[in-house]
Amino acid sequence: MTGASTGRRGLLVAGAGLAGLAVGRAPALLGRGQDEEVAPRAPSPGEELMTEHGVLKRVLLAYRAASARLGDGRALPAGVVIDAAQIVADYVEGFHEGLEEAYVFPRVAAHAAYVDVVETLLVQHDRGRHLTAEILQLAARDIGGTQVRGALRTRLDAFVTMYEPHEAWEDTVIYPALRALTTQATLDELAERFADLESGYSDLALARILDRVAGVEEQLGIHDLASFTPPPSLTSEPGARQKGSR
Amino acid sequence: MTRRRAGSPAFVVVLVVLGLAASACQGSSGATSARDDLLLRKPPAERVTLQTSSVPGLGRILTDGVGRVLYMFPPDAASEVRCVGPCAGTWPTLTVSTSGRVTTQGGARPGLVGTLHDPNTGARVVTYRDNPLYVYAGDVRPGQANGQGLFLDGGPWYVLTRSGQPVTSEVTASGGAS
Repeated sequence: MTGASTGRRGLLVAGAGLAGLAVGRAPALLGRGQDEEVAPRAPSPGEELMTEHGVLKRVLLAYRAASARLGDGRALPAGVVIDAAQIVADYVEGFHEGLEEAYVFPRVAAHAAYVDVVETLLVQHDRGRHLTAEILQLAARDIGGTQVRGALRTRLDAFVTMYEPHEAWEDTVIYPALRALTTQATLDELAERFADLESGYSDLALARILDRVAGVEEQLGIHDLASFTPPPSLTSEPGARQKGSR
Repeated sequence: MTRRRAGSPAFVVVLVVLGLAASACQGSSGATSARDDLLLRKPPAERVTLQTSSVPGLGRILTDGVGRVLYMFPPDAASEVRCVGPCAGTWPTLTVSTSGRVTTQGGARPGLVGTLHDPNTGARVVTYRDNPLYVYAGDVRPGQANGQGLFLDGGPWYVLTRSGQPVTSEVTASGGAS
């Protein structure tokens, strides 16, 4: 275990300690020697990969917001699409998909029922990498022109359209399959390996990635989670409330 | 950024698993570690064949015995496999067992063939003109060269001519690498 991943667990332990304090159990935790007994295991492979999908989901929201601006003629902050696409290139395509291609897909595709879906996912990884390359190239040009804006918007939309079902299928089909088809001992080893490999990208690095994501969101005006909540008027009608409260 | 434009190859379903199980399971132990990764259980081949194949847009380039396109990675310049960790999932090395043989046919030059230690598998990675050889997980059937010119995992990826030179041009717009 690397220092970085130990640090990652340190953060988790700190989080666990805070949770314990919140429910008044801190003395018991402290009395048991938390280094050995409280330290949580590394996240399971599926949990780790789904956390990484969370980063991707937020970039997809940014792509959608950027596309909307391109579509209705509004200005885009300089460099915001490049920033978003570079997060995809660095973190999603350069790391997350590599983990899947190295450790997950071969195990799952060894079973006939998953051969076709794994092939589709591999093809989509490839298409995504090429779309990202094109997005980076287009976004580096003058995006004031209608032609470039249209081309960029088409690719952003295509990326979102492909990756929303892509990650949904991975979360609901592939990762559960990995869990079902792999021994617990191997899953534990994979969890350790992922934690090691994430030493360059782990929670501290993830925090940096999330900082970059937050910067993109802020530029696009989608940084406030609460802004996605529907207005009360949509849920205050008697019929709607009745349906939602069963 | 040297990524090429996406072509529009008609991906047909003949599974990767041949290519994938045969090669993509060759991961590594960590981006900075050189220990072998036993979690990736692919047994290296006893025999590997190199040949050349004609790929639209790229001409005659180096492939393995079943026509899978092979790539080199410029950061490997010191004849060392630098692609480890997640990179090795996307770009599995072409490996042969320590007691295995590498043969050539159809334009590949035997004098350019070699092997060196593969930090991903503990086996031998096949080299051509001192370039460690890789396949690309995104090439789901023989004859595809979707990885040509991609800038990924810290560098560009190039197919090789029969003389072992990287092809640094992009695939033509028709993208007919499939």
